Amino acid sequence: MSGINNIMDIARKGLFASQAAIEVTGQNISNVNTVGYSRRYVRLEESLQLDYRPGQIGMGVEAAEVLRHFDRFIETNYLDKSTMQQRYDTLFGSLKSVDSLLYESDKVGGISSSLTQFFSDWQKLTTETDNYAVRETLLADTDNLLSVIHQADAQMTRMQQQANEFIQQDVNDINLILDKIAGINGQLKQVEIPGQNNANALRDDRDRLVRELAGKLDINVITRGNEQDFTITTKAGHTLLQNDQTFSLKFEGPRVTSSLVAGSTFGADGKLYFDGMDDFEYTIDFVSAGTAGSEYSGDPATAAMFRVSLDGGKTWLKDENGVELQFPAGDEAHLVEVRGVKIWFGQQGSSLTPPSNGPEVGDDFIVAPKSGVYWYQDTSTSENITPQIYANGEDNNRRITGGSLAGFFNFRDNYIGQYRDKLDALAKELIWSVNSIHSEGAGLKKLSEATGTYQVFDSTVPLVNDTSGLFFRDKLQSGNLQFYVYDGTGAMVGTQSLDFSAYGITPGNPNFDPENHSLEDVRDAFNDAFNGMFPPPPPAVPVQASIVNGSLRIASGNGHTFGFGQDSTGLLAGLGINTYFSGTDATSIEINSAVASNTSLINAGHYNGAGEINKGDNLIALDIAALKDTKLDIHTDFGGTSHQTLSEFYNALVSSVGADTSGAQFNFSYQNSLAQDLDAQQQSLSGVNLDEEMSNLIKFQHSYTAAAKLISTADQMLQTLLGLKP
Amino acid sequence: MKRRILDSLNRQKNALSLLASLLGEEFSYLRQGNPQAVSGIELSVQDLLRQITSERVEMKSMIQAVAPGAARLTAFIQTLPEAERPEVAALLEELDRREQNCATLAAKNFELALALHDQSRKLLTFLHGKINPEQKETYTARGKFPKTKRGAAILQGRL
Repeated sequence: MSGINNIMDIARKGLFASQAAIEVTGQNISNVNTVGYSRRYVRLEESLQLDYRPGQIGMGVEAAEVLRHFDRFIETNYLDKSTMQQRYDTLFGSLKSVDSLLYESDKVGGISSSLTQFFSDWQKLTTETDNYAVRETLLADTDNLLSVIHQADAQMTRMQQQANEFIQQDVNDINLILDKIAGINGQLKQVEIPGQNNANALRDDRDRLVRELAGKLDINVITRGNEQDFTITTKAGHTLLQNDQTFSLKFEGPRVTSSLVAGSTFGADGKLYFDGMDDFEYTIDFVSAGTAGSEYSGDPATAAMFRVSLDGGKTWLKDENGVELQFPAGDEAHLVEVRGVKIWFGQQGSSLTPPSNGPEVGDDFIVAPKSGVYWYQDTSTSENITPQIYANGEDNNRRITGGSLAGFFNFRDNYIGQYRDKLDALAKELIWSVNSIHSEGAGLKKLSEATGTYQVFDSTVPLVNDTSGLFFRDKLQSGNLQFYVYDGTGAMVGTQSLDFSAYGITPGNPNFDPENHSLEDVRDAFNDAFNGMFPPPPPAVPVQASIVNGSLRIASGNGHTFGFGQDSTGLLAGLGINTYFSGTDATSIEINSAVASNTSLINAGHYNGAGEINKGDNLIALDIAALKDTKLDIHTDFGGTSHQTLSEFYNALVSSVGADTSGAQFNFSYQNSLAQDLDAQQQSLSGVNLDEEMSNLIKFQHSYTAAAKLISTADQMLQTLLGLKP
Repeated sequence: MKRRILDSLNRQKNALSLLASLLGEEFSYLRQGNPQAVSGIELSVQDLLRQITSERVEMKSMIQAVAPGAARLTAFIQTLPEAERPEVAALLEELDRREQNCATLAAKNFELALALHDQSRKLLTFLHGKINPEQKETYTARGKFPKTKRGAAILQGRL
C-alpha cells in the first residue's frame, strides 16, 4: 500500500541494500591480497510494483544475491596453457641436471677425454708392446673410462628413480585434490540456492584446486553452463570427477594387456609372460601364425612371428640394415630377449606350460616393462594413461599430455630413456669393435684356459636365432677361425681351422654358418679339431671345449697351451673368448676378468702363419688404436644407424641433450607467457582493484546516506501530518 | 680495399651480436606482455637490419673490385695470402654462427608474438560469438526474414 509507510519501507530496503553492498565492498578490500579470491558484487533487483494512482509505484530495492566476477572461458584457456607450462617447466628443470651431468662428463676425466686417452694408450702400446708399465697404464685408463661411463649411467638411473618418486607424489596429490573438489561439490549442493544464495568462497576454493590439478595433468572442466554440474576429465576423456564422485589414478608396476582379433583362440588359456625392465612400452603385433603344434618351437620357420614397436605401433623395430625385426613366439624354453626384456608364452596358470592355441595374425599385446599411471574406472577396470611420445615427436593423445606428470614421464622414459639407449649403443659398439680385433690377437703368453663371457639360453638352436639368446648373434657371419695348439715345451702341436662339415644341415661345408650351427656344434667342432691334432692314443685332456652355464669354455691339460688366429666368423668376439671387454651395455661393460687379472693377456700382436708371436709385433694394438678415427655403424632403436667415430657419436649425444634442454626452456617460456597473459585477463576481471572498490564504497555510502535521509524526510512528512489540527 | 672488407666483416660480426641482444630483449618484453616496449625495440631491430644490409651491399661492391666477377666471400678468400685465409675463414664461420643464432631468436620471437596474437584473437572471436545473435534467420515483427549482418554492429539489432 502506497503511503508514507511505503516510503519508510523503501528507505529501509535501500539502507539494507547499501549496507550489503558496502559489506561486499569491504570484503573485496580486505581480500585484495588473497590468492584465488574473486571480486564479488551484489546484484540489486527492483522490488515488487504496486498498482496505484498515478500508476505503478515501486516498493524499493532488493539485494538479490552476491555474485563473483569470474570468466569460465578465460579460465579454461588458462588451464590449457598452464598445464603445458608445468609440463615444460618440469622437463626443463630435470633436463638441466642431465645437461650439467654430461657437461661435466665432457671435461677432463670425463667420457670424451677418457675415450681419447684409451685409444692413446693403445697407440703407446704399439711402440712398447712388451712393456708391463704401459700395459698397466692401459688397464688403469680403461678402468677410468668404464668408471665414468658407469657413473653417467648410474646418475641417469638415479634421476629416473627420483622421477618415479615425484610421479608417485603427484598421483597422490591428484587423488587428494580430486577428493577435496568432490567435497566442495557436495557442500555446494547443500548450500547453494541458484539465484539467491551463492557459495562464492567455495567456488573460489574449487577453482584454486582445479588450477592446482591442471598443474599436475591436462584436464577438461565441463560445467554445461551450470556451475553446480561439475565434471573434470583428462584431455583424453577419462573422467576424474563427476560432481561429488571421484575416479582414482594409481601408479603401478609392469603389466601386459592383450587385444586379440575376433576368432583368435589364444585367449582360451594363453598368456604372454615377460621378465626385465625397459623405459619404453612394447606393442607386440603378430604378423604370422605358427604351424599347428609347433607355434612355440622357437624356430622361425614354423613358429608364430611377431614384430615390436616402441611407440604404440607407429614404427617397428629394425635391424642395423633397416630391415624390420621379427621374433619367433616361444614357450619358456624358447624365450626371446628384446632389448633386454625376455618374452615368452605360457598358460594362464603356468608360465612353464605352452598354451593350447597359438596367436593369430593381428593379435596384439602391450607389454609395459616399467611403472606407469593407470586410470581406474572401477575397482577392477583400469586403463593405461602413461604419457607416450611417438617416434615423430607427437604425443599419444589417448594418454596424459600435460602437467608435471607428463613432464616427469617424458623425462624418465623418452629423454633419459633415449640418452641411456645412446650411451648403451656407444658401450656396445666399443665392446664389439675392440673385441672383434682383440680376439684375433696374441698377448705375451699363450692361453691355457678361455671361458666365453657371453651366454646362450639354448645351446641346441642355431646361434643366430633369437631364441639362442646370444647377445651379439646378429654380428656372426659365415666363415672360419684359426687356432694353434702348443705342447708343454711351447712347441706348436698344430694349427687348424674348425670343420663343421659334419654338423648342421649343410654337410660337406667346413665353414661355420650362424644360420645352421648351434653352440653345441661349435663345441663339438672344437673338440673334433683338438682330437684330430693328437694321433691315438691322445694324451689325457690335451685341449677340450665344453659348455658351462651357456658359455663356451676351452681348457687345456698336460701343460698344453693354445691361441687364436684369424676369425672371419666373429665367433670368438661373439662368445667372449680372448676378448678385452665383457658386458653388453653401459651398465655391464667391464674389462674381461682374465685380462684384468693378467696384463700379459692384453693382445698387442698376433700369431703369424707359423704360429709364432713375434717380439715387437703390434698389429692388433695398431688396429685398435686406429678405431679412434674409424667411422663405425652405431645403431640405436630410435636414431637408426649412424656412421660416426665413437667420439663423434658421444659428442652428438651431449649436443642433443643441450638442444633438448634449450628446446624445453623455450617451450616453457612460450607457454608461460601465454598462461600469464590469460591470468592477467582473468585477474583484470576477478582481481580486486582498490581504486574501483573505493569509488564503489563512496557510491554505496552516498546511497546509504540518501536512504537514511529518506527516512528522516518520511518522518518529517509524518510529523507534518500529525501536526495538522482540525 | 682488403682491409676495408675485413673491417666490414668485423662490423657485421659486432652488429649481429647487438642484434642477438636486441632480439633477446624483445623476447623478454614479449614474455612480460609489454607491447609498447616491443614496438620500440622492433624499430631498433629493423634499423639495425637495414644497416647490416647496406654494409653487405657495400662489401659486395668492394669484393667485386678486388676479385671481379666474384659473387661470394669464398672467392675473396682465395685472393688472400695463404697465411691469412684461416683467420678470415674463422671470422666467416663466426659470422655464420651468429647469424644462425639471430635467426633462431627471431623465430622464437615470431612464434611467441604469433601465439599471443592468436590467443587474443581467440578471445575476441569468442566475445563476438557471444554478442552475435545465435540464430541468424528469424521472423521480424512484420512476419518476414530480415537480412541480418553476420558481424556485430552497434546500430543494428533486432530489438
